[in-house]
Amino acid sequence: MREALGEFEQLVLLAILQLDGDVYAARIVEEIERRTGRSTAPAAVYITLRRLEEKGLVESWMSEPAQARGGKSRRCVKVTKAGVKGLRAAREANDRMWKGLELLRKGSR
Amino acid sequence: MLPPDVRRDVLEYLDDQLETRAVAGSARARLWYWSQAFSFAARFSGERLRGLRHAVSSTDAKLALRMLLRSPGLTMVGTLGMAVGIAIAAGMLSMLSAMTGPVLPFEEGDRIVVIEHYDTRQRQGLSQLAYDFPRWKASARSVTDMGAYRRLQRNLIEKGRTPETLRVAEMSAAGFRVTRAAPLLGRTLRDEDELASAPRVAVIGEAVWRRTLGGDPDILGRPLQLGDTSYTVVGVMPASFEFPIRDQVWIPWSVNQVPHQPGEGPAIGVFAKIAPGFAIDTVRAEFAALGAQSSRALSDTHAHVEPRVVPFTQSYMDVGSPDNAPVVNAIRVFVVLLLAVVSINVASLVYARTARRQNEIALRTALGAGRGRIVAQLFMEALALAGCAAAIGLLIAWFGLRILDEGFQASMGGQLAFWIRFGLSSQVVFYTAALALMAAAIVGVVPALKATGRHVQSTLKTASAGGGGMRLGRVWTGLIVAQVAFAVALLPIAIYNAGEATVYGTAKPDEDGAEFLMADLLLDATGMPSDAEVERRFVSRHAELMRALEREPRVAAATFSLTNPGGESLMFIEVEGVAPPLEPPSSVVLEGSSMGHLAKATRVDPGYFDAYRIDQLAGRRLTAADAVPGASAVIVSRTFAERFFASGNPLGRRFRYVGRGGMNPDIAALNRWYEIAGVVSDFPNIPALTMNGPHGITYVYHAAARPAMGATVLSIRVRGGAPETFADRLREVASAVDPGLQLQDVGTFGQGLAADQAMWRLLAGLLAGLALAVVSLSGAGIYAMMSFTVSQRRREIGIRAALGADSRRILTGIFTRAFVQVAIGAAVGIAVAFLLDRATQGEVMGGHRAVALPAVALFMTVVGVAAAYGPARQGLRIHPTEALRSE
Repeated sequence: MREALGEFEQLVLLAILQLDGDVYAARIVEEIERRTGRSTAPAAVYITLRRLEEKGLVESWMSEPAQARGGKSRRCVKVTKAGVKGLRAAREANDRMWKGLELLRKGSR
Repeated sequence: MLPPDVRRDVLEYLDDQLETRAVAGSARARLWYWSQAFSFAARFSGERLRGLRHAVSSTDAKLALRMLLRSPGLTMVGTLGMAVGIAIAAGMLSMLSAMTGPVLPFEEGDRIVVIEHYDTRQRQGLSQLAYDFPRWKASARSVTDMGAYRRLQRNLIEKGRTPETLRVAEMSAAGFRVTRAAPLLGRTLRDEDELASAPRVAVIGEAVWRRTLGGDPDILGRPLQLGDTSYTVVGVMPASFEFPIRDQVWIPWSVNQVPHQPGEGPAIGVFAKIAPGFAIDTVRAEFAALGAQSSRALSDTHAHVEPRVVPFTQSYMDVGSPDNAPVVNAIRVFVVLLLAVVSINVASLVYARTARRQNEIALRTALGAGRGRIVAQLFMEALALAGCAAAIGLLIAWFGLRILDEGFQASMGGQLAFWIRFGLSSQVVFYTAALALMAAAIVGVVPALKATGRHVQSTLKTASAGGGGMRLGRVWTGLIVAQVAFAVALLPIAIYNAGEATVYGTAKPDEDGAEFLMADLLLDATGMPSDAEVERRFVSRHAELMRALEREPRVAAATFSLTNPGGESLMFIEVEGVAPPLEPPSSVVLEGSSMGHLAKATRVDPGYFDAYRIDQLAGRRLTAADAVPGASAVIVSRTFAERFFASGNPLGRRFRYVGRGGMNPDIAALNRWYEIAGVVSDFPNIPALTMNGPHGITYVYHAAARPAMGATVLSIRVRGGAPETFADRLREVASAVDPGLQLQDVGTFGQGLAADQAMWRLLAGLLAGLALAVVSLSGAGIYAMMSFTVSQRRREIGIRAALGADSRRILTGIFTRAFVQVAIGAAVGIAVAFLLDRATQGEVMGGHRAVALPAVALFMTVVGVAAAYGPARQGLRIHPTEALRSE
């Protein structure tokens, strides 16, 4: 079995899946910050993307040069099938751990 | 530091964010930028060391800091040494990248090229391209938006304001298209503005609009009087736009309104953008073909001329061209080597300390600590040291580059291209972080691996017996010898040059000069039919200006010379009846031979001496008759007369110029004999400011027949002090004489010197820092060696002392070996310094070799003795019973 996904790796993968169109590091930083409300180091996102790519959980390619950016292109990413599988496994593991703790989960304690 | 596949992406991300965030405040945006740059550097280097990271805990970091604080001497010396090394490395790399790597800061700025002519026989560029430009434009297919420019100076004349000389670019409308720059107000220039029948329009820069024209909101449509021509303002460009070089106002291209013959017309620059889908090599091939055609068709002018296509920034400064690649690479290698040398030095210190901790390491190994863990901890210690050093080094570099940038901007003014700025770039910060890691690896890992090697077990055995297991082998001896040699070779050069730089950097300008305002005088030559006409007009306007100045109540005297006082041309002379120097006094020779004595020569108005109140000591003054062609009478300064004729009579003696070291060829002809007709006192009498010590005030004055366009410096003695306050009035008077008369570099002695002196002080500080680092590293190295030796031979000293030997004799024996090493190092260092001094013809030590080398050798011996003093006392205190107790 593969190494389990870390929390931040999960956040990055989920952010990619949440975004439409070309997804690149700067958008992922914004998406995580927007959804979690916590400040995120861009360097951490870059490193995590690299690590995820090494594990085969994301794929990256260079976009077409954009006129608006002076003809520069960007490294875009997408989640691979293995990535989706990894996320699902993490979610299931999480759910199993929460089982029986419903009261705590609702915040009633 | 960053892996190549993400480097560009990260840098672009940071730049994009900086731009977006700068809207909310540029200081905060920069702070964010740098913090993120550090964060990237730190996280990616952490990522690289992931394997090691498992072994390193926060406890290691705390331990590392504690260890650094526990040996403050080592920490200070090590940090200082590495910080100076890193500062020099970062500074040099920043300067290199400012000059070699710049790309125009526009969209696709790297696709903007310059097309120029190169004369293959004369080996020089040609800029008379007014004939070729329209033809290239009509036929070239691999480029778009080809345009041309020429740079002019124009006086901005505004009622009720002091005239101001502006840098004006007469430029094709294409210049705005290739840069894709948008105006702040109104519009940019258009192709139809270039027609002879079009109304005269101008686009101004934001700085001119805000500062000179008071930010007038109704600026569009307002008239703008430049020299004797009026334009209508149609647009304002943002402050960031200074294309092509560093320009403030743009007027339409008009050179091609009249036809030009091949090779004639004004000097112009031609630029274009590489068309989409083409590469620069294709453009080069196309222009080579066009060049071949014109070589055949125009054999009179174009036979040996070929067009060259170069990136825009490279045409301005050629540092980045492939021809210079070896030099650039040599600098890069030097930077890495410098840091490696410093790191090895620090490594040797750490090694000595590690050796003293050998027992602790052996114990920890015995208790189960793996080799990886111990190495990781020692690496952390070195990393903490290198990290502190990198931070201090970067701070020094940042500060130094700021002074350098200010100095360059001030001294080059409008001539320095707008894209050249010296400062720390993110690349350099990343690179420095990588260098710091390299330093930490050398400093921490090498000694650590050695300390945790195979012998650890045997160390444990001997540990209880009171001795360490590490030995100082040949490498160590070699290091000490190299270190001392390096110090002895470098110190005299560093100290001499730091001293000179301090003298230049802190010298006070001459008292007499303090009353003077100086300015370069030029005339706007646009529209004049010939050079002869320009010269005629210039001479007559100059005479009118002098008369007008005489009527000014604040002007006590006005005169002119070809060069600034103190900025006379450096020449090599042969004096009749005086032996030539044994070695050339300088290696800087532009023409002729350098086998002559140094002197500084200029041409002056015969009234120069009266204006500056320079005393006549012998002979006569210069007169107008001395200025006719063929006249040979000159005046020399007192130092000149004393230096070559001692107490003899200098009048009537002859000399000739054999070589030229200065740039100004109009001073005097080589190999013609001149006769001394008079002697005056030394002025300006500031040897320091003349860069050649006492040689610098051996002045020769020739009479100037009349002022010459492009080489006339006005000197005006102003009554009532603060001559700089007369600058505005001077501009008004000049503009009243002729709106085309231009004044450049208006200022006093002091103003011109201030920026220059700041750079000298910076150099002095750096050299002093380097010298201090070298001395303290060598001193610490010797200390470490002695201290190590004493602790290693503790038992032996104890036993011998117990057997009745005099401990002083024992120590003498031990230290003799160390002093032999210091002596070998000093000898090697002296030899290297001697060779260096010979190779540079005495310039690196200013001829003080005979004193400096023995002094430094003596000094290093003193440093060695001082460094050995502590360990020696330590050795003498060893008590036989104590040393033997463990046996």
